[in-house]
Amino acid sequence: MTYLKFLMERAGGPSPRSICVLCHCEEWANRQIVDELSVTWPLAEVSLLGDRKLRSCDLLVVPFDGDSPADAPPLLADVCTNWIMIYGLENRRIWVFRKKMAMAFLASARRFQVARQILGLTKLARPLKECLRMWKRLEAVFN
Amino acid sequence: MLIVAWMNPTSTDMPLFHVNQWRQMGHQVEVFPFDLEVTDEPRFRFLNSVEGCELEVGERRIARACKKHRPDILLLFYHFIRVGRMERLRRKCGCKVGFYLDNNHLLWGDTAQLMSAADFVAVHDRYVIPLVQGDRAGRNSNVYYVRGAAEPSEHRPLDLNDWDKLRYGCEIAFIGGTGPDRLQALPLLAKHKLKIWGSPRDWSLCPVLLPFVSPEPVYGLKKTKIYNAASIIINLEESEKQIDAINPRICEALASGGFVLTNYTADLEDAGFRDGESIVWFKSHEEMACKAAYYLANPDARRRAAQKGRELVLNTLTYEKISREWMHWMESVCPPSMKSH
Repeated sequence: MTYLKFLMERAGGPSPRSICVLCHCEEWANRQIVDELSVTWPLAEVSLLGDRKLRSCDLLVVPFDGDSPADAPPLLADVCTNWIMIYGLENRRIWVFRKKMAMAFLASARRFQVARQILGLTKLARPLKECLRMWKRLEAVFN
Repeated sequence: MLIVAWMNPTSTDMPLFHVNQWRQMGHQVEVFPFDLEVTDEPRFRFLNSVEGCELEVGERRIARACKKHRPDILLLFYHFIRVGRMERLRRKCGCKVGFYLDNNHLLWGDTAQLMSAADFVAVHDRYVIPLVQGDRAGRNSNVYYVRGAAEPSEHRPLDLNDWDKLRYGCEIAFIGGTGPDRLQALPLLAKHKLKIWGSPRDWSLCPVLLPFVSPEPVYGLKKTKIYNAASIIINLEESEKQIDAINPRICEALASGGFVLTNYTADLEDAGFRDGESIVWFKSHEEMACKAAYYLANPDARRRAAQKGRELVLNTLTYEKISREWMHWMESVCPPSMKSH
């Protein structure tokens, strides 16, 4: 309750009046999220979207397993909401953004995940590592 | 005041509860959630996976936040910065630096150095006070003990539906990770309907306990529901982490109306708890097993202790009380600065 309020306030968002939660495959996860949101914003109408048909709402909650935003399901650009809560169930990795920023955050997470895979397949990891080590040494000298 | 803390830990929202109280007291408190500001950022995650750079990146961003907010006090809930950087930051911003010692990791390099160099240290375990406090050999003269507490707006009795009772109900509930003490103690409770909320990967170290482990993550409202649904909530401290403290879990469970069975600590007694009256404690694992069996068979005794324990917590161990006392102490060691904002 306190944590979700903190996240929303930090993002600069208002108390939502209508909240849609994308359905997760586990019932316990859906209940956990819906219950927590209902207690955090008691005046809000909280709906679970079983068929994934999106409707207009103040806050859209996108649950996913794991703790990396790259694991979150893709979002459609025409989703009609102002705010998006990306809800990683493992280790309570939750982020709240305006819709446009949420899309950018997820896209960035996926880009860097691909970049990591490319580093794994090529020999580029070594020089990048050396560059970062050099930067750390310079950082220690100049700061 | 600028608070730097991990904000997403699943065990407690303790830093936020303190912040809320300090703001209600009229203080301007800014929060720098290290996870949201640093470690969760996709670009950082990528670079850090190639070469660890958490400290370097974190220090720069904390310095930027200090420059922006110009706090009188920078309070670190972990060794997020190294001592040299902290000292430069303190000189540059003219702030006092406080360090909160979460676990008793006194010999950890950056933790030890920060405790020594900080203007004050807050500890969660009063056992370490004489080890830290003093004027010689790098000791710190300003040490304050912060007891665990509950937030009654969050930790409270709830009406549970049938699904909640079925899902979260059990005879004995334990929430947390493993450790040598827990791995030794919990098998003694395996003959009861035990439920362990934690990571199966951790608990696979003890095959006897694995069938009792639920892999679901626990935090927020769900934790309060578990406290409400279980007959006994067990608190088992790892002696490497704390020795004479009041774990927030105890206060949270009692404020929720739960019955707590816990390791004995002298501070529980000093805080007013009495064995068998407001809480039940044990001094050996055998005693733990005997008392668990006794109280499972005696629901009235359980209810009486839970009620008394709740009253005690609501009267003396809420964030409203603990945070304010802590703030008054910080005000006394960090008088308002003369710098202009």
